[in-house]
Formats: sequence, structure tokens, C-alpha cells
Amino acid sequence: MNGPFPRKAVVAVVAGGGVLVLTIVASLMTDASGRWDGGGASPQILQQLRIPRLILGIVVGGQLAIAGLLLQTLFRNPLAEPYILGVSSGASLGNVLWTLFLAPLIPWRFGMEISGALGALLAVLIVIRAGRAIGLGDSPSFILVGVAVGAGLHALAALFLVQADPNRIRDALVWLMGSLAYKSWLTVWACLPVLAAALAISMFYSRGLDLLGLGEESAHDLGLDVPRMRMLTIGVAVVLAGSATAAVGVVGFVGLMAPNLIRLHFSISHRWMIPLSAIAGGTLVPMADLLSRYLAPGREIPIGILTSIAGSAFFLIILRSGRVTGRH
Amino acid sequence: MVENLRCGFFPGRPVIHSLSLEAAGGEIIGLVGPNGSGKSTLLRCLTNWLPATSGKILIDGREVGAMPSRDRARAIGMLVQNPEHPVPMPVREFISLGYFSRRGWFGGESPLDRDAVDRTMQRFGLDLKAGVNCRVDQLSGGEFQRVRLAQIHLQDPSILLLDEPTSFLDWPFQSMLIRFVREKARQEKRLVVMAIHDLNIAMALCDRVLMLRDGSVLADGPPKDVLREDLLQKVFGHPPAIHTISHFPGRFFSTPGLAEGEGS
Repeated sequence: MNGPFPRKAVVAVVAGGGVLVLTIVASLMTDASGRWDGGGASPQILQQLRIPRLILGIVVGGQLAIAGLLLQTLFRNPLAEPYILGVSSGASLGNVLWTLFLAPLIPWRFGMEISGALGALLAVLIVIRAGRAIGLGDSPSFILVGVAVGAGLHALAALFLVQADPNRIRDALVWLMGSLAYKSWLTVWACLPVLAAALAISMFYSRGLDLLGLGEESAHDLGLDVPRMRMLTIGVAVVLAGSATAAVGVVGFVGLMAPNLIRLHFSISHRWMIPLSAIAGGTLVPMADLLSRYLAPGREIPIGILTSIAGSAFFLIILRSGRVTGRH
Repeated sequence: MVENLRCGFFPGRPVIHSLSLEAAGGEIIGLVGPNGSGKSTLLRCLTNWLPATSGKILIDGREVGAMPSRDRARAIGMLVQNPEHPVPMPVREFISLGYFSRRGWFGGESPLDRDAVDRTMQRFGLDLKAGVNCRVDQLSGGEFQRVRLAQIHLQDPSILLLDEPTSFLDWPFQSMLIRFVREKARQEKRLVVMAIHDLNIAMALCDRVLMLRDGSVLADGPPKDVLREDLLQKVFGHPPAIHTISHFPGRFFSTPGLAEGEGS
């Protein structure tokens, strides 16, 4: 075989690229109710609805994929995902509170996005604060704190939901499961700089990420400033996951799946893992969006449901392969 | 130089109690003592992974805790005893991470670097082709130990700390390790500090042995003076069986290259 790019991997990249191109074309030629119009849509529809929807899917997928990869490396666990630090629960709580209590009072178009972002921020602040207060310094403890805080916030969101007026719940529920419907360019412009900055930062520090993969003590011994790298990694991952969640709601499993799809074919350093995972994530989300339009014409299943169904099956497949868990 | 060092995992419960030590490049120092006597803790404290709670660690006059990480890694490097499970990555990639403290954040591998990695891999008996295709998580314990030795060889710090370096290695590779340690100390004038359970290796390889008990140095000197029956009994609570070759029943196996000047 030839180096880190054996033929199987080249085939995988070509196939993946093909899927992305097909998804892009099909997305642009399918209307919101899942009808194929073969390119007959008016330029206005394309420009105002389908193109921003597609690009937002690619951007959010890329964001979730990089966030997942960063946390998988930091925790040296291929099953870590971007929401592990409580980001999604925080965002959900923010969204639920907005929909049930504030939305009827304030006619604000981006209330969902902003309340989601604030909720995600709140969750992360609680996680960091709690982690410090308990005195847990190492990375694995952050997962435990994140899981605990996430469970608490999630329960709170559920508590508000069950008490609420059933007519109002639907908006919140659809949001909680993630959707790209009715998104404008503004959301795209809010997310794109975050993705660009995160790509630049994580590529620059890619060797530090490679070192973190050795375990924190070995990384320290080889000259990495571990506490700083840890904070940087968590910071970038949380901003990525938080902004993605604020933009489109909770899209589960993409951050878990995308890096592992790459890992199934390659063993490569982060310099390659980061862009390839981003592309994989950027393919998965528009694919799920396209599928949601076809599966339930006119009703649109939230994409989070589709990614989670695919993700749970995928989870079992990667566990069985043993490749990412290092078991043979 | 180590001065009144005190460190441990929990505040108020130091593992190492006011330990002082001075050493120079070219020396091979063995740390001997029962399990839990503080050998590994001392080594981890020297790299500042466990910051000292009091006392000082100075390398060429600079305090380890105050050094920037990459400067520190050029001054002192360590082969840990039980490394964490690494994420899957190709063997070659893993080894060349040893260069981090010299190469920095970005910057690719120069042809010179690539050559050095090749030579290092050959030196440790690692197949170059397999290094690209094989992942570190697929290696056996002994192979992984050699890969880690290759990595620290590339890191090339002035002070090498080896925590039980012979574990997992079969005897041909044990003699390779012995050659490696001697070469580092004798030719490259590095200071080697190794925690070692094998008293034969400590006796033959080390210039100086520190016997630790409960985080303090009980004896410090040439191996002949420290590895004495009475001291060993005092520290381990059990006398070792000491044989001279002529008393050994049947055949006696020793690692080739262990006696200095022999076979290397």
C-alpha cells in the first residue's frame, strides 16, 4: 500500500466528494415539499431559500464535525460528541423558555437563535464553574461534569415543556430536533465566520492536537502546554457547537459520525482529519435535510431525527468494527 | 539539581519528602526501591507534570516549573511506565511527534528530519514500511515500548528519565536498550535517570544508585555500596538471593551487553 493514502482511502474520498456534489445538486433542485423540479425554480427561490439552506447545512455540518473531532481527541474517546459538555441541553432550555414565555410577548425574529446561544453559553459556564469548584483538573472529569449539568438542564427543559400549553410546544419541539427550514442568509453569515475561525485555529494547532492524542502526560513531556491546549480545544469546540445549535437546533450524532467516517478509512494526523471531517459533516447535514424533504413531503421531519436514527445505527457499526476503539 | 523537593498527588500528603540530589551529564543513575517508594512520582515531579509543592528543581540554573513547555522538553524528557492508550495513528507519525519541541507548531518535515526518523526507526528495529501502514494501537507491548524509545530518541533531551524501561522488552531488545542508555550517557553526555526493578541491570549499568523508601533517599552511591544485602533487606523487608555465577545451579542467563565493554 502507498503511504497514508492507500487506494481504499482514495476511493472513499472520491465517493464522498461525489455524494457531496450529488447532494448539492439535488438540494437545489428539490422544493420544500420534496418535489423534484429539475432546475425549474425561479432565481429568487434559489437565492432566497434553497442556496442559503444548503450552505447553512454545509456550514453547520462542518462546525459539528470539527467540534466532535476536537472533543474526541481531547478525551481520547472516539465516541465523544459536541454536545457532551451540556451545550445542547443549555440551548434547548433557552429555546423552550423563549417559545413558552417570551415569544408571545416579543415579536422578535431571531429570538430562537439568540435564546439558544445564551442557553448554550450558560451551560458551558456552569460546567466550567462546577468543574473548578469541585477541583477536577483533568479532561475526563469535564465529561462527567458536562453530563451531569446537561442532564439537569435537559430535565428542566422537559419540565417546562410538559407544563406548557400543547399548542405552543410544537415550535419548541421542532427546534429541539433541528431544522434547516426557513433559514435566511443572515444565519449563514452568523455561522460562516465561526467555522472559518475555528478551522484556522484548529489547523494551526493541529500538531498540538496530535500530541493530545498521546495522552496528556506524554504530550506534556514532549513539550505541549497541556492546560492551555485543553482550554483552547474546549473553547473552540464549545463555540462551534453552541453557534451551530443556536442556528439550527440540536442535530445529533453528526459530530460523532463525521470524524469516525474519516477514521474508518484513514489513520492520519489532524492536519488532514480536520478538513476531511468538516467535509464529511458538511455532506451529512444537507443529505439529512434533503432526505427529510423527500420522506415527508410538505411536513419536513426535523433533520435531528434523521441524523440520530442514522447515527445510532452507525454507532453500533463503528463499535463492531473495533477500528476506532482500538480493539481487535 | 534538586533541592529539598517535596511533591505528591494530594495537598498535605507528599509522596516525596525533602529530597535533594545533584547530578551531571554523562551519569547513569538508577532509582531502586519497593513499589510505592516514590520512584515514578519523583520522575514525574522532575518533568513538572506533578508540580513540586516546595523545593526547587534546577536544570543548568533554570527552574523547571518556570521554563516554557518546549524549552523544558528539550531539557528533560521521560519514558513513562504505563502510558495512556494513544489514539490510533501511524507508527511513523507517532515517532515524529518526538520532534515537537524542536520543530514547533506548523512547519512540515524537512528531508533531514525524515532521514533522522528513518534512521531512528531502523536503530530500534522498526520496519519502515510498517511504520507508515501500521497503527500504534495495533502493536504488541514490546513493539510499542520500542516505538516510544524511538520517539524519545528524536526528542533528544539533555536529561532522560526512564521509568522501568526494560518492561515489555525481550532480552535482545533489553540489550539494545542497555546500549542505548550507555551511548546516551557516555558519548552524548546526557544524564540518564532510570527507575529500575531489575537489580542485575542496576548493578551493571548504573554509575550511581539511589535507594528510595517512603519518598526519601535511604542510600546514594555506587551500586556496589548501595545494593548491599543488609540495605536491601532493610528496604524491601526481605533479603534477596544473591548468587555468584559459580554457585548458580545449572546455567545462568544474562542479557548480552550488560557487562560494560562486552558485545557492544
